[in-house]
Amino acid sequence: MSETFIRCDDGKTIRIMPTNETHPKNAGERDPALEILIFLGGLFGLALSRLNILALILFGLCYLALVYRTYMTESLSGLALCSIQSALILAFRFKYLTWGDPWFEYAMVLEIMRGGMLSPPFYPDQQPALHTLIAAASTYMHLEPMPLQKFLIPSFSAAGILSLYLLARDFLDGRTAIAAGLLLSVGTAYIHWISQAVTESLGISMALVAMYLSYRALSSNRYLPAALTVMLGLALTHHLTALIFIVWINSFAVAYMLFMSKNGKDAFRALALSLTAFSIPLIWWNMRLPNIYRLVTGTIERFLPSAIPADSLVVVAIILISIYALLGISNDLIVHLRAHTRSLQRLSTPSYYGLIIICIISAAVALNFLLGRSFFVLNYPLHFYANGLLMIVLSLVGLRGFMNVKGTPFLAWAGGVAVLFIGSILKLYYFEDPLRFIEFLYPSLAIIGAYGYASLTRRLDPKIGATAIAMICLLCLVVAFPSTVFWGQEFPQNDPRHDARASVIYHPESEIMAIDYLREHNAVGRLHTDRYVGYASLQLENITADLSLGLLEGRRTSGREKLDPDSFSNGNDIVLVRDRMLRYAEFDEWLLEERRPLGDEEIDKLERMTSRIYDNGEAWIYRG
Amino acid sequence: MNLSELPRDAVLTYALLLIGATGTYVGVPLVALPIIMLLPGYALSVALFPSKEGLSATERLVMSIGLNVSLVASLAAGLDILDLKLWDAPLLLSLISATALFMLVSIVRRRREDDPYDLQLPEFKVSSVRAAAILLLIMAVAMALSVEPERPVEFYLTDDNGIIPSESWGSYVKVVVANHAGMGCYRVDIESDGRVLESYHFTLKGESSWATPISIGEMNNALRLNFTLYSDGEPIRRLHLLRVQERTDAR
Repeated sequence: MSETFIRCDDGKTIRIMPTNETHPKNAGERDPALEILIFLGGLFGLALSRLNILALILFGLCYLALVYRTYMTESLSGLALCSIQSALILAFRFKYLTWGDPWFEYAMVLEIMRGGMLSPPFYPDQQPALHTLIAAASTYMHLEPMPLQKFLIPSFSAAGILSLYLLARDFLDGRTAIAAGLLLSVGTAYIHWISQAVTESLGISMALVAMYLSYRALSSNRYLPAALTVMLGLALTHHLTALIFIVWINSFAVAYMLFMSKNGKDAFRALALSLTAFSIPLIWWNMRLPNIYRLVTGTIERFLPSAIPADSLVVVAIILISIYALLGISNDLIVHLRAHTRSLQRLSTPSYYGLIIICIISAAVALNFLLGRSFFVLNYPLHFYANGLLMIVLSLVGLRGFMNVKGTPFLAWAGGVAVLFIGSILKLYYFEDPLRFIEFLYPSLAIIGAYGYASLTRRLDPKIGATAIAMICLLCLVVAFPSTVFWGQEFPQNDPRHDARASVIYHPESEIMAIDYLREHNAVGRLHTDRYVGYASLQLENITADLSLGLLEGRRTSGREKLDPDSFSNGNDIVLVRDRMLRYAEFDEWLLEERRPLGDEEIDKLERMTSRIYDNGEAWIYRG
Repeated sequence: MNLSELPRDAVLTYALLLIGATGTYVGVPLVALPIIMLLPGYALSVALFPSKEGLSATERLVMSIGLNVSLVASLAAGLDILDLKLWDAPLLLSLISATALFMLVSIVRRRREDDPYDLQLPEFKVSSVRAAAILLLIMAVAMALSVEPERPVEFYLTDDNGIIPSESWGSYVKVVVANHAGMGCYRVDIESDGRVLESYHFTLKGESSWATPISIGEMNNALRLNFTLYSDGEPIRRLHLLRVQERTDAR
């Protein structure tokens, strides 16, 4: 990385275009039409796999070819297509929305379409970017909202991946930047969320766009309005992403000011970015998401000394202003000191090994947590960790190249989120489940890891490098999802490929038919079922599922207990049971307790004490 | 200013706004896509960066997408704060107005630039064979997605008004068998205490259903009615109906 360049922009000069954009090295080899053909071939394989799982071989071949070509030709259109293809895997593999959260988003879209307003009584989520976008698209384009949500939202990943590329491209060569984009596009934590069509899918892409524009805005006023506008959108997209972005931008900007900036004015732009990233989400949460607002302010108050009399948010704002004002005022001194830091470069080797030790210890803590030996009950198959281990190894190799002043913003970017993640595992605070922090580590790790990959393959023929990254990407995709996605089946518990999530990632036709029966026959009442069927039933207008009380009203209800006919009242109780629940059922256990399937006694009691009014062979409805 | 002096993208944007707005009110699918997904953000990006210098095509695309999401969300939030409903007109009108305004600003700003930005589509040579192959593949993907999965036979009850039965059954319930594919020879048995009260034989083909009303009143003595659906002599689906007294006793 030391031989690579960085654009020096004092805010007035013309930006020097990255070489591959003005003079594409491999322009002659690029062939967008061929890329589109390969891309469509891959989508055809995915779509056909709904009928015959062997069609996934076609997808695999096309995906390999697309990644290979993208890496070889450093094609940006290829990179965008690779990211869209991997993000759309679930949308093409399964007819309906997958998992649980996308159904909640779908229910919110329907609420906005029905009510035409965003006021909290009927639109409780109050993160309107995704919901408004899909509701508007569906209303004005005269199309069903579910396919729009399924296909459009994951496609936004291309904007995020291209932003990461552009950011990496300013520090690294084109091929390594392409590798960074590819590595992020198949990162297990990243692909898990990006492929779901949830607020987080849009949030992470928006955060990456905001990050790139903010990086540009650090050295140029021209980018500032765009960066601030995208931050406004980010605040309206997803609360956790907006929160993490505050850490992203501050860790990156402070390191940038300390190690790269040559102009004191950069500090004031950094301050504008930092204060906007901090204040806009808080203003919105204060107005519309009071629970989140209280959670954040409460956490801040816990970490501030109680002796400070002022409002905690004002204190944080004063701290931010002080940091950036100090960095701006002392910029000349910092530049002067930086000239002498070359002698510190001798310390890079011991620092590198020190960082490796810290990484190994942190990784051990994280792995202990991920293997369910901490306070979460997690049972992922071993191959699920392959991508994470690969990223750790590549990042440790690539770390060496970032042990210089130009690399520090990236190290700070990764370090900021890593500290949040480890703090969350150690229960120092609570925002969401700690697993959700991992995806926000991936963008910075992808850049560092890509440099590691480039270092490992530097002496090899580029074709070998391209083949290897294509294989790595495909392998990462296969292990990222439960077995139903790429194997088309669930495996028994003694099989190493067994993954309990395989049965809940998709919603089969029979389950949706049972829900349709309730809708089409004007069912009214309270629905008791497990978490995943509960999610799919959120779309029903006159039915209140136990899950929706938990999600929308914050009431902790144990769906499992509610399934007991003894707890029924008013004759309005409906129970939906699926065959899957006899093998795997999930109620309020979340990640804290072991799940267990429905037992014979529970089914017997329903059979004895309620009427069974619907049966399609795989789903039954009881009325009590 | 001559119309021919207008930047190409401005002309295209205004044309797409007009087509999209008309299509929305006429009810033509898809034509409003650019208004929702790209144009407002693109127009703002050109208003902010009216020059060719300093912004590559990729950067402009990424920026347009990010700005677009922000604009749609913040306009919707703004309308809601003003207590206005989003549909039918307000959100669309505000998106169109914002796009038109940003594009106007960009036109004015571009006139002052030495090297103004204008839309340049990338050179994209496609042979007719490849174009045909792309079209064919798009159609193939659409067809593959539209293939409906196999749907199982449904066996269910409704009340005499066609809504799902409540605890206080009316005098009738309707027994329904919904066949979704192929041909099936079915039999429905209604029994109580091991005694078959009624038996129906019928054949269904393709997407079709069979229904019959059952008089609960005529089965006064039965506390539990069992309904069994047979296909080719094999029982495949099962329902049962408890009378209120039976349920109360069971509890």
